[in-house]
Amino acid sequence: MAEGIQKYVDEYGLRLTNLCVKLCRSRNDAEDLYQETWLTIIKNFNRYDQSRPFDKWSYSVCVNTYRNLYNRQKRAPLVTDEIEGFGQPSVFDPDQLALREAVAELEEKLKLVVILYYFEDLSLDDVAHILKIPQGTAKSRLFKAREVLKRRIQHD
Amino acid sequence: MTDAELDKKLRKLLGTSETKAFTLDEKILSSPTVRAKPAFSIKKLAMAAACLAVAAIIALPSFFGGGYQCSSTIEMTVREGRGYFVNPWAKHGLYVHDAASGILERISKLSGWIMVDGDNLYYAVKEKQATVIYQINQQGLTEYARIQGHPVIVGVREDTIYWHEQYSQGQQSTTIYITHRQSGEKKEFITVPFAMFYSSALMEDHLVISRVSPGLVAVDLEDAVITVLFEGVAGDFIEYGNSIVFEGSPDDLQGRKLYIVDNNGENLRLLSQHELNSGASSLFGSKVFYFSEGYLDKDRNYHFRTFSLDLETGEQQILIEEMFFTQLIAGEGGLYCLDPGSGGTLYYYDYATGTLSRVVGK
Repeated sequence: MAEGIQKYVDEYGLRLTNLCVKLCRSRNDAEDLYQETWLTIIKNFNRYDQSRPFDKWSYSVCVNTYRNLYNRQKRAPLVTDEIEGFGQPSVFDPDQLALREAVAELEEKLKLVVILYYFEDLSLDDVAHILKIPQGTAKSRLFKAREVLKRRIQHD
Repeated sequence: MTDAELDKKLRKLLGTSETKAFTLDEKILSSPTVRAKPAFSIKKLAMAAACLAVAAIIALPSFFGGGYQCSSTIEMTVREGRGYFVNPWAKHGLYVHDAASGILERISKLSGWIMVDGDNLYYAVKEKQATVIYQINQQGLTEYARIQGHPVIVGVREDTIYWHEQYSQGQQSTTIYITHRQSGEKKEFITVPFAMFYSSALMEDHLVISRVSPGLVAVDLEDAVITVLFEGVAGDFIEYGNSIVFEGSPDDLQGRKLYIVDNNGENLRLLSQHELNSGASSLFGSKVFYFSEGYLDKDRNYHFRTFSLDLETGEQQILIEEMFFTQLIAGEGGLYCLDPGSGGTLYYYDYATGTLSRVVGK
């Protein structure tokens, strides 16, 4: 099992790392999510349909794991050793800064669609499949997200 | 700005940027049956400026001075026709909504979280050195107990507060303590071999915990025997007589549905036909209310639906159509529904009249 998984880790690890970093609030959380995602993949590997692209399936596992772990952290904030000043860009473009803020403030269901759609140029069909929503819903959420982002940036 | 211009900026912002994958813990690769979360060391990786720029997306909105964004849930409970909630639209504080009159008033400036013990309501607030628990009554808030530090309160029962410490990374088990409200004496109550609870609550004879794996467990308060009630993934749950109604799915890959199981793990059965949105379910009396965005009509079009399901008769009804909710809290005369869109709105659905009215929000 370890050998079989290793080749997937080697090939897809960087892409999953990127997705985890984009989804999570901190580097610690992103690494946590990465570990938990691979753990779930290994546990369910015998259910993976090899005719489906592995990357899309792994993104689906990652998003579900993210939702389970982080979407509703209630009264038990994790005590972590967060890196001081994490999130401070050392060089930034003012336009990008405004867009970053705007994306960060999107409601969760819109933010997920935006991150997945622009991350590796996934299609709307892929995004819908990963989030387990109808394609029409993915489309309408992306449309709504764009409208909110445009209004927000233009207002700023 | 055109769509094309926005697209270009978003692609630049969100396109792949890390140069090296995280290292996968050896234990995960070598032991596929490992259930406990392995510890791993955080490595300091060299980050490109683009990576930092992307990582800044994940910072809290307040870091950049952003405006209020409604989260998917608010701290809320309903008792005797009154909804008690921490009001995020008014910079927090505890508010009460009288459903019959529609009057909304603030009963405390403090922000905390609400706990229930039968008919008693409690409100826990963090101060600098301690967590103070107030009892909520008609007169307002009266101090009930005080615990040093900032513990996670599991529940209150008969003048005893059940709590555990905040989680640390790599933690594999959780010790539950009890503190008597008058003596302040702290004692170790039970240690369970799990950490990172999604939710936990005291029920009549058990401490019930939901988490990712195993999903739902009951710890006998007398002999500490642990019973796994549901193997898959479990989320919110509520007590119903000697049973527990909960959101669950067989694994992380599937959506959640409503199940019911006896508190000894027997008679597990599926309740809802549709997948529900996690967190958007509530029980009152013998009725469960839940929201689904996956309702498929005969033409195979998807719709938003809020349902009621009578646990005694099995009858299911559609209450509200085409409104998107992330939280439902049921009470005697109606259902509070949270729509997080556009800054968020809390609604009240009256069972008798079938009308939906705005309580507070944008």
